[in-house]
Amino acid sequence: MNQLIYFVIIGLGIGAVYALAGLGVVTLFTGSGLANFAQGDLMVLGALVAVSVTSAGHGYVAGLLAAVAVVAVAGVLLGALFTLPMRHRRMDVDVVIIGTLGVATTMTTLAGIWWGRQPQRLDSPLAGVFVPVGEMRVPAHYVLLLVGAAVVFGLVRWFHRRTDIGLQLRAVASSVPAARDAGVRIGRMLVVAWTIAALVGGVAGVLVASVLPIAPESALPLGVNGFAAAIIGGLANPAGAVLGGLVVGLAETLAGGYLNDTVRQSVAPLVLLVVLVLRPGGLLGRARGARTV
Amino acid sequence: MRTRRIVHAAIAFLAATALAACSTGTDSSASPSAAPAAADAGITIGIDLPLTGASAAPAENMRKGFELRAKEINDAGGVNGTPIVLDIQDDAGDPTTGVALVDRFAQSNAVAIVGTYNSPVVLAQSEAVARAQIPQLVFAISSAITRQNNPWVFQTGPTDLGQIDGIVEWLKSRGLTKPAILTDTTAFGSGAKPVLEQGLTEGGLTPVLSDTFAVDAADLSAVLLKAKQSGADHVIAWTVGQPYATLAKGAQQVGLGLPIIGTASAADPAVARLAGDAADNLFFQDSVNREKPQVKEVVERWSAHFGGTVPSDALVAHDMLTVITDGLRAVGPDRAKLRDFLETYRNDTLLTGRIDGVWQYTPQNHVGLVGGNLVWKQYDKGTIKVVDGS
Amino acid sequence: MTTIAPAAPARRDVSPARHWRWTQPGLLLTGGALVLLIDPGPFDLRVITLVVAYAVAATGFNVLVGFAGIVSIGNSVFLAAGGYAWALLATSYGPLVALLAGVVLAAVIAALAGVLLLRLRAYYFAVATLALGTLGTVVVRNWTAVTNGDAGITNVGYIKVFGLSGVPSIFVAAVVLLALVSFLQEALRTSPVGQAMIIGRYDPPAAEGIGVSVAYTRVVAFVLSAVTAALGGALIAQLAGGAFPDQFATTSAISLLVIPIIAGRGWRWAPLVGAAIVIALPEYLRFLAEYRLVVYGAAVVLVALFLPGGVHQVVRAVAERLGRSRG
Repeated sequence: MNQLIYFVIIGLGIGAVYALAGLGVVTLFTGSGLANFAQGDLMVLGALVAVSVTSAGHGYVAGLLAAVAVVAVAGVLLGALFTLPMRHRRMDVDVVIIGTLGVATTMTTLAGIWWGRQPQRLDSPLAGVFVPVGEMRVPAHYVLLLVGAAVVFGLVRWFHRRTDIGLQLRAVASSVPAARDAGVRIGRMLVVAWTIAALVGGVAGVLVASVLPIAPESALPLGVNGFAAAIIGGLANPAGAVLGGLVVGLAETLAGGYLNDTVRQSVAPLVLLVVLVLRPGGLLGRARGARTV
Repeated sequence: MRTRRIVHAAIAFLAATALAACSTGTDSSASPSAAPAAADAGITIGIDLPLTGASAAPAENMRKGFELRAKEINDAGGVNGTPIVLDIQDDAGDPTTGVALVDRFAQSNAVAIVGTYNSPVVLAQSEAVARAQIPQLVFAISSAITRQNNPWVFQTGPTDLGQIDGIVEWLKSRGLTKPAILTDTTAFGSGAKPVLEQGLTEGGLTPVLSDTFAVDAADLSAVLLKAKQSGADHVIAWTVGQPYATLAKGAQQVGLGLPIIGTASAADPAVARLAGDAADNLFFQDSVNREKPQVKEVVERWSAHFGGTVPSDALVAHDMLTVITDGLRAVGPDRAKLRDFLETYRNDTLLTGRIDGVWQYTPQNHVGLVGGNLVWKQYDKGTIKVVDGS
Repeated sequence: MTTIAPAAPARRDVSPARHWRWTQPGLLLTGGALVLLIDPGPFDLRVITLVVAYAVAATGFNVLVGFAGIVSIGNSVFLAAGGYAWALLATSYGPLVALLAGVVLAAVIAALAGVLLLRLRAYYFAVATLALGTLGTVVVRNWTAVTNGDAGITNVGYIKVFGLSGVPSIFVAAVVLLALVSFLQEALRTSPVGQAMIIGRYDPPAAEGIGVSVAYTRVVAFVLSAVTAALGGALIAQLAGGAFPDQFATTSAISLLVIPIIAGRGWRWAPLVGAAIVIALPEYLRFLAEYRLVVYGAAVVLVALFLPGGVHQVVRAVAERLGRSRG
């Protein structure tokens, strides 16, 4: 029984990592209609900046703030870059995918040149604190991860649902021409959407870096896992990313703990395929996930 | 409409006959490219490393080791007065790219290829290396490479078999009999998995568990809990560098309380940095004894040049370049002569191996360091101490 | 309900340029003969052969993304099917059986996956295929009895044609295959199925209205992309001298995706031009050392953002200007 509880807590913690990555993907999608395969690189950027700052002797909070500042700048730059062509026409899905993959290649390589390829870990403010579960111990940072995911989710949801800018962002995501006709400044909103997604990525990167050693090459798996979480939940819904992340994290940990690692490796893609075959719009997506014809 | 169908059918038929007329060739009859002349600009040595992709971190350590050694050699006047030039190239861990690089080095008059790191890439390169007749000194540890018996390929060693022999011997001396084997899911771990299972069973130590784990996982405690409950009295973990830190922390979380035995790359400075004193139960055989005077010298030069602790990978890279330049000094920049020379090479002053350990090749043995030549080490309060280095 | 807009004026795409059907394969074969005459060094010939192999693999992908407007990030699975079928069968059963087995295996996987997944919207389908590719890698890595796991299968031989040996022989076979699939690509463009794909992409309801089964044409396009990927995978395995899991991982699926888009979706020369950019350019950027992939990544971003028609857009603009100055 203790073992099951332990696996569930660890699984939720790992799920929170996926959820945080997925929240960044969803944030940009709901704000611009773009899917970003470079989200993992924004997380890595945040993590590496925070590691540099804290290892220079400044505290965890200073590291977090520095990460947020640097990643916000990166978000504004990427936003401006992707806004230039989008003001005039809708971007095709394939072009968005390879465009953001190109960003990912560039950012991964640059991070490797600037920070080196060695994996880095950020000392958690809760380092050395454990929550006992029977004779096993869960690092308290897992709890922080879950709380962090909840807070980020709450903020993103509040921003999209309760603020005027959030409303305009959702309008852009659903239809660029209609939003323009309604008086939304498209270019400005796209930059805002990228910046917020980058901020989510930066905070997520800092939180994750205390459980997962981060190297520049970690970006692709982080981004892909986040994407899986976002798609399983339904791309347009922040709650979906959280749910999708937790489902995958739990399924992986239980499969690894009770079955074997080959099953664990297959669980995430299998869950994704099964969910999409049964519910083409994701767990929380609407029925419009399927093509009408 | 009808004529079009006929045309289509004709084309398909022609294509099919063309393909049917062909056969599968397995020979490699292409002639080798010309041996390189000693250019005025220097002697080119091709360096092949996975500088991007999953093995980028250890590859970066090795690149620094090569660069440091090349600088030392050239500062001391090069090889018989000619400087050496490193042509460092990235294969991204991809076999197709790795094979293309062999042709690139052959075409660009490199005298030898040093590297690469990933065993599948070396296995794929083997045929092209033999065809180009260019000597290759590789770091990849798979005994599958040894079994290919390619006259042009030399391994630094110790191979996985060599390390396993050392592990079996050491386990027996400690009275440990029930191993749980955990291998990573990269080419490194899954290549070693069958070798480990067989080697341990033959040594009388039948594994009670053999499972795998992902190197980029955030938490590996689930698989360690399984190891704990399997009745094993020790864990053998096969991976490269940083995941040992994740394993050590997972062991701390589940209260594993068993010794974890790792590969030489558990010496990676990242492990102590990431795991701290959680790594205390981690044992491994290192190819490097840091008490050796020549190692201490390089450690000083390293910290002056790059700062920080020098990783074992970099010291191996240092040795690899020493071996090649020793050969160039003796026989000049000639690929065939260099290969012949390597088969007679013997050196007991290299950085890797125990004190007085010998790095030796013969026509029958293309592995430089063999099993018994290693140093057992253990993590102790976040630092590495020698357990048995005699 | 499609989200992909036309990359080029449809009028051009569907115009039955019959003469091109013969001209393009002719040009390809002539070009291949010229390369052999020039006799480049072993490295250059290997890179060129790899370009042609990826061009073969990407031809079906060009149909998928250019005609039918579908994006997949999982076609590495089909490369692997072709590569492993070659590695397992070529030395004992000959090249034809090995190639055909890979093609059939890939087509069956694609048909099953297509029926299940092609009703998904664009991003959902893309990520579902990514999961398919990941599953493929897991299977290849763990089904050691057949695939020999990560150690891979070596000594797989190569296709011997016209009495040639080594890489030149693979090169000739690759060029012949490219000429063949290019011919089929153009034949498809003017065939009823090809027209149905293009119409179904731009206006699905209208296509259904005139009796086209959009779902059917989409599955056909996906199967075709799998077939040429399997052919390309077999060629890649021959070039590498073996089949290994890392060779057919997500990065190769991304390469297949970038090739037609960067050169111009649906353009008849897109597979070859795109493969030259994606495969050869990074090889010849090696003098940039560690900045190599920075430059490559930035180039991909800039093309995607500011040149959505790819190289084709530039070629067309130049051709139009030349035509205007003449007229």
